Amino acid sequence: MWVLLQTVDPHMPKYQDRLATPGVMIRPKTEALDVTFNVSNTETWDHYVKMLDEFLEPYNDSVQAATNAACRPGRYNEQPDDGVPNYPKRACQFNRTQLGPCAGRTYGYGDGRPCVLVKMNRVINFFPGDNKTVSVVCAAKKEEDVAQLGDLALYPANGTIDLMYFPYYGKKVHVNYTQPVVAVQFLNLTANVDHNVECHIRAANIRADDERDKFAGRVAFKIRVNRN
Amino acid sequence: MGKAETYDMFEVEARRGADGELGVSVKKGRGAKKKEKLESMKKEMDVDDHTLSVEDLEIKYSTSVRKGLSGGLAAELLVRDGPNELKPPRGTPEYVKFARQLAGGLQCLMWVAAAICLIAFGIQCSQGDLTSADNLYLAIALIAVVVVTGCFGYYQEFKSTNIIASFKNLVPQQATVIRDGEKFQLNANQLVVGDLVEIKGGDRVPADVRITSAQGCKVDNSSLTGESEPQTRSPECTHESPLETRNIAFFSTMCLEGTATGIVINTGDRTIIGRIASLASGVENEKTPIAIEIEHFVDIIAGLAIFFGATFFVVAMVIGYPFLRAMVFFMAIVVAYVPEGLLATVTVCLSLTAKRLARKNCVVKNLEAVETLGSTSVICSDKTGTLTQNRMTVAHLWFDNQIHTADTTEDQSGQSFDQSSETWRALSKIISLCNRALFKGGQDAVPVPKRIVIGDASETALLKFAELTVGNVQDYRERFPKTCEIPFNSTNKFQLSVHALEAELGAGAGSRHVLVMKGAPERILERCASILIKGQELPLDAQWQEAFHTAYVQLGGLGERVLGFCHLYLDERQFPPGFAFDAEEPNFPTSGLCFAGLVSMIDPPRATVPDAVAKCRTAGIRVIMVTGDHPITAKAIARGVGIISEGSETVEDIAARLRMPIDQVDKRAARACVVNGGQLKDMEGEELVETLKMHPEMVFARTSPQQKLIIVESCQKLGAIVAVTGDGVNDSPALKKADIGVAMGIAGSDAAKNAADMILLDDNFASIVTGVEQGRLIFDNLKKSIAYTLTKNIPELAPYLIYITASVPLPLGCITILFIELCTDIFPSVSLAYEAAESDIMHLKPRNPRRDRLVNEPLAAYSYFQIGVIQSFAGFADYFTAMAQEGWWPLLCLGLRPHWENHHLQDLQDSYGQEWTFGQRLYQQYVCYTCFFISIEMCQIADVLIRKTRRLSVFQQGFFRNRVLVIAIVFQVCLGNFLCYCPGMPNIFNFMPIRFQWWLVPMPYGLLIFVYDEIRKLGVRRHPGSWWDKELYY
Repeated sequence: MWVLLQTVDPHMPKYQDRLATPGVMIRPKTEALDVTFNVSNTETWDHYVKMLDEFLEPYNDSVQAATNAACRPGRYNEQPDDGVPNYPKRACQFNRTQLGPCAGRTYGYGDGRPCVLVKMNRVINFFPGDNKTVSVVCAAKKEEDVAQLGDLALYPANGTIDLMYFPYYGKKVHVNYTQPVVAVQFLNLTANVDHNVECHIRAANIRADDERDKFAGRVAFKIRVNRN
Repeated sequence: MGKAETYDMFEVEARRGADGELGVSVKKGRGAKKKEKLESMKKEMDVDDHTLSVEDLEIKYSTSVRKGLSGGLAAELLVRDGPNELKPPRGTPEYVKFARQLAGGLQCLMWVAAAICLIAFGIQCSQGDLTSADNLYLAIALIAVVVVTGCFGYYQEFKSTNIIASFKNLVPQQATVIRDGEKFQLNANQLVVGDLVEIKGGDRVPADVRITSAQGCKVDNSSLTGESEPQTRSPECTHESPLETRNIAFFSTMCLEGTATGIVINTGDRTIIGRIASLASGVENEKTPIAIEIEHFVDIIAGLAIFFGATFFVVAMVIGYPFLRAMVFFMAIVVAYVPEGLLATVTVCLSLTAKRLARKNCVVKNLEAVETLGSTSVICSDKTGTLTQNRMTVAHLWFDNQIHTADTTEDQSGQSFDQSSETWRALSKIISLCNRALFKGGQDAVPVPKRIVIGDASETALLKFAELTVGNVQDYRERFPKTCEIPFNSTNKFQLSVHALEAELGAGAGSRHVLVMKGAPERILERCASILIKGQELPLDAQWQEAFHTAYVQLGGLGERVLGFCHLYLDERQFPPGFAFDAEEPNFPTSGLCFAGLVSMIDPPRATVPDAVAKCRTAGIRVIMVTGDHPITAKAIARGVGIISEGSETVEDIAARLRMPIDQVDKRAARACVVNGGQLKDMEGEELVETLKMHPEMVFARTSPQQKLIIVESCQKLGAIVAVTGDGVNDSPALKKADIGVAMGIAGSDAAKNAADMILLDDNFASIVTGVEQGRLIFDNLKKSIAYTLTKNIPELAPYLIYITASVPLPLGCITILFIELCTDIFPSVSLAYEAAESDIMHLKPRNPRRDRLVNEPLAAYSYFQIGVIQSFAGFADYFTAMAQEGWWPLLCLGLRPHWENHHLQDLQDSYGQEWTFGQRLYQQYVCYTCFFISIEMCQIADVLIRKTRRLSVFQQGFFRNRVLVIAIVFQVCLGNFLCYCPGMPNIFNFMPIRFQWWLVPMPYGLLIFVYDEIRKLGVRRHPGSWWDKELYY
């Protein structure tokens, strides 16, 4: 067994048989993926804000500027080894400010227009979108509920995930890699109603309709704003 | 009148002393336990009606020997006693039997496991978690396994327990009965005690009948007592034992000739045969040794499984798992530890051997009996029909003052004797002429010994003998037409006939008739004045009489029935042709005859028996003869077939040789011993056991069915595994009691066949030897098979232990375990049944059931803690390799379980920083299952190869000699491939298509197993008796 483990590359997994489709997750995250709060009661949304604060800490513009490079958007940021194996890789900047109103303060929870961040799982050497745009699309799970859900705003614009954040080279060589996120802001949710929302990745090589894995290429969650 | 007393089944009459004086009768209440009832039945029959006079009988049954019962009383008695039929015993209801099959040790464990699965599934459901139906699947699979094995067992049992059915067929349809002085036909089941019945030749006796008058009545009691010759029935009481007296005819026996009238003394279940029937069905079937072995093994396994399960349940609770999870762990450990496929494997192995035996004419009714024969250490064999041909045959002749031996082989392949003497010509003429037996017509193509003859056993023997030695007897008789005849009767004990001579053949000049006579030798000698020696008539003086007596005693001592033959040529002047001979009042000389010789007959042993007995001896099996026949005959046959070996003496032999009284002989010096029923009756249980211990060569003669049962029990008390062979109804209780009952297929009665576990279709005792060989082989092979099956329990269990203690993602799922147990590994373990023996198993002693267990400590320890551990390492190596190569390094795996199994965690980071959803992790877990599965399979291939032998090197045994095993391995690999790569498997049975590399990981471990075991075997071979041998040879 020891011999076998010697064959395992510390930087690159040998196989990625299970990771053909990256998973999708939201922030703030609770066990049941249920975002419920009362606008007028701070205590009910305070913990969501804290969670988001914590999550977005490394996305601060200052941190990004200090550690990461500004990359050319719209194309993959490939960094070949050029003969030096496992040469450390530079990560691209993802500035918190790109998220607009969802970048800070109460993330809209204070005024009943909450933000939810959607992120795609990291997979080494994965090139999403086949050189075409990758974006996040969100909608009510059932079509008849679309009206109740109201308008959505996506940041960065159109919910685009830029290709320059790919590929990922693994935590050893790609140290300060910043995962791209898309913020979804619910602008005029009907209050006191459960809303089932599904977000999925729209990309040429990502299937979002796996029957068995409900989180492959998509994510479904519940949101509810209570007002007195 | 005391009707109730006399016909109480539970009545026991204590007999005082050997003189047969009747003692106090002890009454047991109806409520007496069944066991007591059985014990009382084992005692001698308590009928005393044969000793009563006809008048007493009339009083006792308020009947009349002329008019019979009154119709009213008969109807009353019928209501009281019930119909004259054998009642089928009240058996256990079928559903109870079936339920018993489902409630064995292993089965109970599996029920518990299934229940836990269902509870877990229920709780999951109620919590709204519908993602995993695994628990439900598992529960269904477990229940299916239990039910299927249960059905199989039930079917086996069902087939072997229909004993009473055959007794029903014995009931005669009609009986001739006299009631109120009128004779009429009646259904035999309407008979009651006291009825006056008539029996004639060809009838079956309708009940136990006390004969009140008889004319030449003969019955065939062979199915009841084992005596092959017809028995005369007459009104006189000739013996105190009801079985031997002549004035009782037994229910279901056949009346061969003559007529008789008698009073019914017992009906239905109270008849002798009814009691034997209830004795047979009352005898519990002994558990077969293999059943005991398997039970012993199941106890250990169940104990360990519960112990492990409980331990880890507690550990899990202490560590802080929720109760439900801990229960699921418990269940998983039980599933992993219990060898679910074992029962199926054992059953299939046994059926294969049964099939192999069937090809050799041994039909096995009860599968487990296959192995029993292998562990047999004592065979109690019936004589008539089993060891012997059940056909009287001329064995010796005495003429010209010399004993000649006739050919007694079944196919007439033996030596013949000198037939040139004049005396022989005269003797053969008497044999041919003084004989009433006839061949049935149309049998010219049939070999003489097999032809059907009309006539009694002795006459048949003589007829066949004459046909074989002289030639066509029919022609011969036609040349000497019979003019007068006096048939045999028990008072004068001879048979006589007068024949006309053809003129040119007249040996004595001036003679036109010859008188020929045969009969009891002493009676014949009385009537003779001269003796024929080498064709010369010499006066019969004291010297010749002495010679005659010597020969007579000698032949009698061989257990043979001796007949004397004499003749007389009648003077032509006194008896001219056409002389009217009067048989009623002989008007011709019946003394002063000329003695020709003696002929002795015996039921000779089958040709194959001596060889088979010798083989049994080398195999360490003791053969005991138990027969209903006379001691002298029994002893002679026992000597003939080698049950009493050459040079062995009985106490009586020693006494005769040393000319001292029997009670002064040291009993220990006698290897052989002949015990007859009378002696046996006076023996205490302990005494019989002592006798069996003291004399290695035993013959029991004149035994009753009860005594046969007692003999079998005594042997079993000595710790022996007893096989009983027999053919008659009288053998059936012993057949049932024996560890294995072997019935004869041709000669055997239905009752015997039903009570038996095995039937020899060709009635050949030698087939038993084949059976023993196969039985021993299957025991060895089952051992190998079980060792193979047990090994994988450790690599099945280890994943759970590591899973619970080290909290790694689960390496092997329950469903996968069931696939290993019930699917892929069944074929190799069954194929081990085809393995050839490693050494000459017929030269070993039978196994000691208390010491040589099927599953012993070295077997379990070696399988579990050595090979099993290597297999576990192989599994974990493959598991960690698969995990590491997909991104989860071993160190990360430790303690990963809570996160790994968290349904809500969709972005768990692996060692490379990649994030995994729960679904992805689950499939990865299935990959691990499959890798572990493949590892176990690869190692099991090595395992089945090493299990081919226990002592020899596999190279000595040959890799490919067991083709079935090779095919099984190939099949196992194909099945493994199918499970891995068939589309749809991941979601149904949790098998994933794994990478080819992961097949290679366990192979070095397989090689290690092989080399490791070769080293073990080398040590065992090199150092027999050493520590190594003791600890590592299983």
